[in-house]
Amino acid sequence: MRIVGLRIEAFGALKAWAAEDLGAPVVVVRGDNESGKTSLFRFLSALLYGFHPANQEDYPYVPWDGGIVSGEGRFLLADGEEVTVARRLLRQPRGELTRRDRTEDIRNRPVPFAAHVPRPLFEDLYTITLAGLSFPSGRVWDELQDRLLGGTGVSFLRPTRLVVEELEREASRLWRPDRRGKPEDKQLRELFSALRESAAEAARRDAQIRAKVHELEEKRERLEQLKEQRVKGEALLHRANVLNPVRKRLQRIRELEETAGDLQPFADVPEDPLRILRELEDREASLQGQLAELHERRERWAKALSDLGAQYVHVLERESDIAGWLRQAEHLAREMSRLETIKAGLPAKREALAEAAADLLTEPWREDMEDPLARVPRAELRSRLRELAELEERLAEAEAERRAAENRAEGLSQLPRPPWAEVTFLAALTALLVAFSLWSDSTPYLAFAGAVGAYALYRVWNWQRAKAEQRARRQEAESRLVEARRKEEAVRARLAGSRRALQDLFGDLPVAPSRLVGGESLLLDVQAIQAKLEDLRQLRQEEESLSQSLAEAREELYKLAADCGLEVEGDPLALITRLERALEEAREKKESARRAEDKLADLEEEGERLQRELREVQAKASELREVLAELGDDDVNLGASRLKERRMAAEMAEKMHADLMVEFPDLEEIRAQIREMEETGQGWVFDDEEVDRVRVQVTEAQDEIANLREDIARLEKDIEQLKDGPTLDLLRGEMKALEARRRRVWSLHDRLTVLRVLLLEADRRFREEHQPDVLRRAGRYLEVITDGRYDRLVLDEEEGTLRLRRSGFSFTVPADEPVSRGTLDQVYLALRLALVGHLDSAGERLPLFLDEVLVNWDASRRDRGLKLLDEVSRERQVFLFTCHRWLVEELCSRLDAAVVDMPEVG
Amino acid sequence: MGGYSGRRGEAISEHSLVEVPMKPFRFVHIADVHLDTPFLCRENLVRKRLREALRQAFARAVDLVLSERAHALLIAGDLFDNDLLSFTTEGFLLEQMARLREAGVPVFYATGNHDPGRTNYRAAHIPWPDNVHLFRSTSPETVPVRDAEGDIVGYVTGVGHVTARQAENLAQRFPSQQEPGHVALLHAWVRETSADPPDRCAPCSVEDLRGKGYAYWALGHIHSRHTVCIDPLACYPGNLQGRTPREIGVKGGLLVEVTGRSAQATFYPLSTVRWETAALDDLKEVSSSAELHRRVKERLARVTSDDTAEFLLRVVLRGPCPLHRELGQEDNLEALATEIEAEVGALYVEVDADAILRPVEVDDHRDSVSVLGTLLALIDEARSDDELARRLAEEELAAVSEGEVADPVKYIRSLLVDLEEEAVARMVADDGS
Repeated sequence: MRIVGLRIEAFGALKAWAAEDLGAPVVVVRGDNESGKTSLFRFLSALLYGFHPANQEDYPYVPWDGGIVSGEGRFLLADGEEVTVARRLLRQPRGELTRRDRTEDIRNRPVPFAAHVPRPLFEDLYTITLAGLSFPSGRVWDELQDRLLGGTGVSFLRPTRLVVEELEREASRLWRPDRRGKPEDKQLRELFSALRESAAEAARRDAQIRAKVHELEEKRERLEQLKEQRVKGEALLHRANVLNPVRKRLQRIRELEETAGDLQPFADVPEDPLRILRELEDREASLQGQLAELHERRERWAKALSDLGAQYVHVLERESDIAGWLRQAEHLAREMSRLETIKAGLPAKREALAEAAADLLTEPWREDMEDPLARVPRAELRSRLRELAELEERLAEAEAERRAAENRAEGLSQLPRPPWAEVTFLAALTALLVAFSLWSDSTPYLAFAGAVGAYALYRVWNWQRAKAEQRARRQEAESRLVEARRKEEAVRARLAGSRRALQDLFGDLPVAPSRLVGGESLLLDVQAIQAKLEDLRQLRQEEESLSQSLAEAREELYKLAADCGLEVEGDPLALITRLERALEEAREKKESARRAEDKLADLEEEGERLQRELREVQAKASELREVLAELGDDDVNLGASRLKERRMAAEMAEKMHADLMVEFPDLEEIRAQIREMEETGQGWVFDDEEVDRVRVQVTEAQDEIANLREDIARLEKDIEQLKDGPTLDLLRGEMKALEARRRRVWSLHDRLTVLRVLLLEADRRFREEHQPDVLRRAGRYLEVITDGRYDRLVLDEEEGTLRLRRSGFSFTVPADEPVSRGTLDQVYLALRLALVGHLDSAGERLPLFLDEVLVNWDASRRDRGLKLLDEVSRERQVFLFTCHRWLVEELCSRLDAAVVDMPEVG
Repeated sequence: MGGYSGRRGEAISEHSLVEVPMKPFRFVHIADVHLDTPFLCRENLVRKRLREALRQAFARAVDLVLSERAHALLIAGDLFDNDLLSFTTEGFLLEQMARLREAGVPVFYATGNHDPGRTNYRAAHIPWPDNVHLFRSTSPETVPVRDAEGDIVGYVTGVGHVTARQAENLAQRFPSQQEPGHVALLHAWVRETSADPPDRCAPCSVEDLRGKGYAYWALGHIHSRHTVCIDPLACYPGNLQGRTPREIGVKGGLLVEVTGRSAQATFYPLSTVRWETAALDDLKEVSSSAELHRRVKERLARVTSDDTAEFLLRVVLRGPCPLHRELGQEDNLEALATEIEAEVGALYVEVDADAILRPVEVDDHRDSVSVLGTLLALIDEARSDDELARRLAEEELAAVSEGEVADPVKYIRSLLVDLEEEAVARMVADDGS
């Protein structure tokens, strides 16, 4: 099979690349490193075998820019047929095989003409690189066999020998037929034995439980029997020891209760009635004495109450008024002090007022001036003064205006002077120039004379015009002066009117004319004087008010003192002090009277209580005498004695009953038992011997019961302990799990063993089938590459070593030192080429790819290598990748080669 | 308080004058309770829980009888594992029987191969209360069943296993019945098709059950619930509690109502703990523990969403998986089991990754000119070549040496399952294609 054409749309780094006319036996692919030589080989592999992995996500040659991997190749088969293979990796890989105009969908399957060599083998064995040509470093035949001939043939398979050792090792860790080591099965077996013993122990435990339960049931039955026996004995002892004594004591209680009889009617009679009777009589006498003493004390307190006098009554009646004055005393004192202060301050105020008015008036101050001055309206005064100030200002402005008009009129009184000298000079000059021109008949002088004359006329005309304008301005200034003067007179008239109006505000007051001018001065003075006048007026009002209120207070106070019986004279404050003292005395008297009243009430109450108690004592004594007399047949002492005896009997019966209750809490039950026995007619006479015998029986039964209970408790404890142990089912479950684990271990071991045996057999079969052909082919290649020095490779079956035969000799040498390293590498290349030749010997010869293989060889060795390639290329197409131009040229000159250029590295 | 008022030993002979029942006969049918059976589990605590669960299931069966006012409880053998029955469990068993006695409900119990009836076995020595009728002889016995009013509602005919190896066909011994309302109680292996594997436990065929006039065959021995025959109705209720990871799903008993010659059976779940298995065998794309976790959870969602009973879970991971190295380490498996346990609330989780393989492309190497290609061909050859299989069985094999292998060729074939993947995984270097 030969590749005759390739077209790549996109594959890794290769894009839109094509190569035609590749059908030569040798194709030299020229390209720099990284130019895509590996991609080209992978593309060829993909054409032949499809994409692996077969999805866009994982396929390594999908272009980085996201293009679709796609391309096709044309192949010339051994039978001369040309076929085209196209592949495209979309979401699903697609493939088409076209032969004789018939296209077949091959999807991702290998093409039929390459299927005899699996893809992994093709990719591994059909590429030979420079680095892959080294003889195995160990230089031993075993290793060489493992690497090349020993069955695997390819580097991605692990050596059979290693896998066999691994399987054997793993299997031995699981199970061994001998007793050596500690394989997992042995450990499980030991564990299982221990469990089997535990299971036997568990079975024994269960048997023990059953035996002990049986024993327990027997003992419980015996226990019940003994309990019954004990109950009967105890019942008899109970009758003899408990019921009979109780029965006797109950009988005695009944006798005592009969003696006591019904004491309910005498429940209120005291324990010692005679003593109580005497005490009642003594108490009666004592109460009567207390009543007499009480009467005397009441008389004394009634006298103390009548001692409160009429004067104090009056004072107490006006108590609130006096208290009011006491509260006002301080205020009264303050008012009196204030009045004195005002009276002392009035002259100074008047003097200050007169002094302030002197600046305003032309006459000395009098009291009759107070009202007119106080009535001057300040608002109007302020308005007048502002108007006056404004008029004064306007007058000043009018005066200034008038003076300015006067100055202006005066300034315009003179007219501009005529320019006669200048005109004369110009006229003379004109004339002179006219003359000269006439004389010289020079036209320019005549023209100049005309210009001078014209200028002189202009100066005259200009003077006339200025004079007329001056006259007009003077007339206007004069009319403005007249107007200014009229305006000034009008302002003066208004100013005089305003001053008169201002004087009218003060009425007849002699105000100094110098003060009647605009501004704030007059207003401020008037305000100050009016303030002083207001201050003086308020002081006078306060003086009058205080004087009046103090007079009223004094009058009221004198009246109060008179009502309270005090002498009316002197200072009001001193009078208040006297009233206070009188009130305190009256209050003390009143308190004494109140206490006397309280005491009298208490004495009254005490008297009533004593009277009541006296009546009660007398009633009780009488009642007690009647009861005792009735009990003693009218003899009080005898009655008391009889009552005492009956009460003692009742008390004794009650005490005996209480003792019984304490001693026998179940007394009612005992009573019922006694009643029942009496009703059944059982006797109450007990034989001591019989009682002793029964007592012994009960004691023995109790002892045995105690022992049985101990036994039962022990048995129950034993049973519980036995139950705590692991049960047979749990242990058997664990044993089953262990058995399952052992079976799993056995299965794993046996599986590994079967695989090991099958692998050894496969290895043997493979060697037998393939080794001779490979060695024969390798020998032929070796002869070519060594230029006939070695012509055969043989395998020493006994020693398991590879040997080389030199041409013309009958002996062989081992493929090991001292054979040179270079020769060994050539042996290795020969073996690899032989293996390739062997692999596809049954089908199409697939192309071989050599990457820079010859580049480091010396000239003679390279020459032999080219001979070998020539030999190989007769059988299969050879692709040689190189980046060296000299090598390309050498290959093309020596071999029937086509050259393909890879795209330049960008 | 009620009590059992039936007449113990009220068996009728074939020739007695029998009363025709006029009322429907309702009873609960259970079998293969296997009290104190050894549970196949590594964890002791879990085994204890399973033992407790089994007792709970039996107590629930009794509850079902009482709540449904059934006329009887029928136990079709293997009530307990003979020599494993502990004293404590025996006490529990008698307590439950006493509950039924208190309610006046009879119990019909035919012994099976695990609890045979001969006097040297345990069943004959248990002090059964008088409401328990024990069929422990191979001679059929027919007992009438009465309701609370004393009216006969049906008849139970039963035989029991005398020994643990009762190999004869006991079904053939059942007498034909002419009247309606008859129920047969039997512990046996009913061969439904000729393809069924052989079993020595009282084997019989479906034909043996037909034509004898029984309205219902209450069977025991097979642990998975299923109906053997529709006419007459013959059912295995399955066991009450799964014993091994293979006995998956909810277990329970059948409430059967027999009316005349027809019967209707309704399943009632009784187990409180069930076994479940989640098998994942498409793990080629699983290259991270997170993805594996997700796959397991996804699979578990289908397993665990049916009821709220406690369950024991066995996660079986099979086939090629990029995580084959991680899954080959016991620590990782235990961690995974613990995580799953926490997530799904399982009582116990066991992860079995024995069959996990390195992902390899076997087809790439098949027919290749290499030792591996030869090895794959040889493995294939061993599947069909008995001679080669026999030669392999002559190697030092553990199961053969331990006497576990009855059929060496069959055993070798079982070892060859997925061996190609293992061969490729071991031969191809890790970085190979």
